[in-house]
Amino acid sequence: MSLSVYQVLESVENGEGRFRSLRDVVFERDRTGRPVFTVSGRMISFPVSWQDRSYVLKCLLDRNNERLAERNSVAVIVGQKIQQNSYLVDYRYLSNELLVFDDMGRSGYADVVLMEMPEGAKYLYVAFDEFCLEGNREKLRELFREFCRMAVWLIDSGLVHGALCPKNMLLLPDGALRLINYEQMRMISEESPDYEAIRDADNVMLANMVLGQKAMIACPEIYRTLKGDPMFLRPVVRSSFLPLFLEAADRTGCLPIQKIVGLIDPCNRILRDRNALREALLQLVEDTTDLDADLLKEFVAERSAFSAETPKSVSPADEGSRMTSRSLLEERYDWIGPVCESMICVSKGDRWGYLDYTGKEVIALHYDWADDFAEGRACVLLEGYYGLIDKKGNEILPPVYEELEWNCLFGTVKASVDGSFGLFDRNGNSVVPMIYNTMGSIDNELIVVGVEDRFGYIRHDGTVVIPPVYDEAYDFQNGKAVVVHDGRYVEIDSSGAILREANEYGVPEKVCR
Amino acid sequence: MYSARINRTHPVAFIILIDQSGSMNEPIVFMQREMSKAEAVALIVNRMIAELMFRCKRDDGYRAYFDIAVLGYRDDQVVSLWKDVNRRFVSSQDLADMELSELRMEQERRMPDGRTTIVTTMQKQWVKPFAAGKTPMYKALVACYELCRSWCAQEEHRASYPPIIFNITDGESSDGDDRQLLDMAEKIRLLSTDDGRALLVNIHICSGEVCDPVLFPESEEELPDQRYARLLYRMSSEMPEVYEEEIAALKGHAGKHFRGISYNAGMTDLIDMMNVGSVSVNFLF
Repeated sequence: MSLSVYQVLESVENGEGRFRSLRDVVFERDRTGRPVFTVSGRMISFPVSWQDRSYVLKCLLDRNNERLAERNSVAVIVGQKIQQNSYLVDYRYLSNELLVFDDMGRSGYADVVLMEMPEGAKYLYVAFDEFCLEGNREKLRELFREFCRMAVWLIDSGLVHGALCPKNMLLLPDGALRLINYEQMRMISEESPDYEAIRDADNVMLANMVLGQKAMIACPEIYRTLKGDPMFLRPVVRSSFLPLFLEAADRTGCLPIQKIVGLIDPCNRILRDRNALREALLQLVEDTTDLDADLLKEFVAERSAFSAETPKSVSPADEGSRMTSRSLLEERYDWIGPVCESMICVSKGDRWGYLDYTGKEVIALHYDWADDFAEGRACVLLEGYYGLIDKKGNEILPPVYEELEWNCLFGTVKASVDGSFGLFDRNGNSVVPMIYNTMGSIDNELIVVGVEDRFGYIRHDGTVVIPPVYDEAYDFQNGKAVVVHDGRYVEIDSSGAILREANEYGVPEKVCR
Repeated sequence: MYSARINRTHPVAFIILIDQSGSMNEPIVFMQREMSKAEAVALIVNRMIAELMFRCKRDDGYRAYFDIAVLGYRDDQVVSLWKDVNRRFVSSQDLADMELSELRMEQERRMPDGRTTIVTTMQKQWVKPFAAGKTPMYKALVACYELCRSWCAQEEHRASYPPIIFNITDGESSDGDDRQLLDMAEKIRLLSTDDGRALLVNIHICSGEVCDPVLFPESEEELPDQRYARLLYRMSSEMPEVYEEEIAALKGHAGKHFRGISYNAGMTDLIDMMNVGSVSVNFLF
């Protein structure tokens, strides 16, 4: 049976003789003298120091032998790679390390992991927060170069992290990056049954973070939008952003970014060519071409302008309803959004919520991220999942979705759970059940959808306009879309009629031009 | 089904019904100490609450992942056992803030090198032991049904993991006949959220020094051929698949269609039953 937190804490609080090898480990304690810890799923983590260095000690509550063996093998791989001047931290798997007792007094041993936390390191998302809020493009640029070097190293090493995201990366005081949390890491080989899925997920995540960071260098304000986007949490392809990144790269001639966008298959939502990705990353280490800042600023402004409204002027007698001043809010909050439909999205620390335009907190700051309101709805992130709320904070869609996009023009919500996509209306009613394996941008009238490797198009009400007959299909642009039919790239109109052959392979370029 | 993620907007409900009748005064030895069954059960329930609290702990404090109600039944009353008796469900966030006495627990541990050591842990006393009077289990199930029904009916709980109810008793009900008990248990089991039906786990504690427990049986035939054992079996929920791994680890063999009941359980069996019922849920964070 699984261990309980209680059992582990008893051992930690009465530590003498409980550890086989970590005899001089020192636990960080709170003001009551109890060890500091957090629990997540099958693991309890303690910040500790050992041999004058800081670590996280993770005790595995799981007793499943298969899962424990997997963890052990990860540590062996990491141990080998660390020797090679890597971007990994010290990571040790100690089996049968911690002596624990049950209530009958029977003893057993629990496995633990010791993962280094270098002194002065900060999580990458914290660094993004700081540098973007400061507008410090130089620091963002240095960080980006280091990220590209790390990404190249990862590809060269044959490792797949399995959980790449800014929370699993540390920035050291000397500007070096380190990957952490290797519980899903493995060596990839073409013989692995899930080789493609694992490889593609890591590739997409690397590409997402490169595109995002390159955009942040040109326009730090864009981080506000990207921070809460699933592209920084999960290996998802955001087909609605790709044209923006591509156009921003086209305008300044940033070839490596053009190449990376071209490598992403928005139809199948994958990035297969790891070698080509590597080459582009290597080029980016030296390439100083920024993306077009004006275009990105326009994008940021458009997102705010659509939903922002000028607050009604109030009579002097209505003191209680007078609009608050921004400077007052800046003293209380770390991030203050524009006034959108009389609501202001704010954050304090890592908590997000909303004020009304008088500065009164109307939706409590308990989200991990929140978007601006548009047509009475806003997307929020809670504990890693997305939901949709109204201006009273009521859940229109609960925070259980891996991806969620709200399009206020069509009044449609695109959402996914367990990799399946569907559509909801603005009241949270299901319009299209979650039956599609892939779904493209909902910014167009026709939405590309995929079922079992066949692709077609639907309307926002779910009507199938072009059945899933294509090998591949891409988002409509200006009334045309590129599809692959019987191995041929062709351009079609909204009725499915073929307009012409598509001669070039560069499908996203085709889509955007 | 039984896969809803647990978060602050979709907490899980636990209801613990504790038999506080006079027979719970019977002495037993538990954790190397002599104490009454009521004291042992209070210890174990407090331990389970502490475990749930630990699972809620994050960097910024305790999250409201659980709504917990603890009801005691004795004589002809069913009472909330929280310090504030007017409160039924209390969230894990509020439990963390409760000012409570702590019990100093000392236990002897035999180390691998043969020496013994005394370990000390402090345990918060959310629930205090009590034992007197009869066993109004039917009344307790009615109160449980009302509590659970109103929790499930709340809009914000529709998407939550279904409620889990533990009924801990050492004897037969002194109110309600078998039919009434079965009907009320069925009404409770039919309550649901969108993620599945409420789970009713009946834990019968043995009354002698030697216990011959049956835990999570796969059929009635595993139980003694006694009317009350079979009645409790029929009152209990079938455990969903998500619990099978933990139950199999407890029983030492795989199986299917485990029923949420123990009969003639000792105190460590009680701990195991409650761990299975609560720990598995914790992997849904």
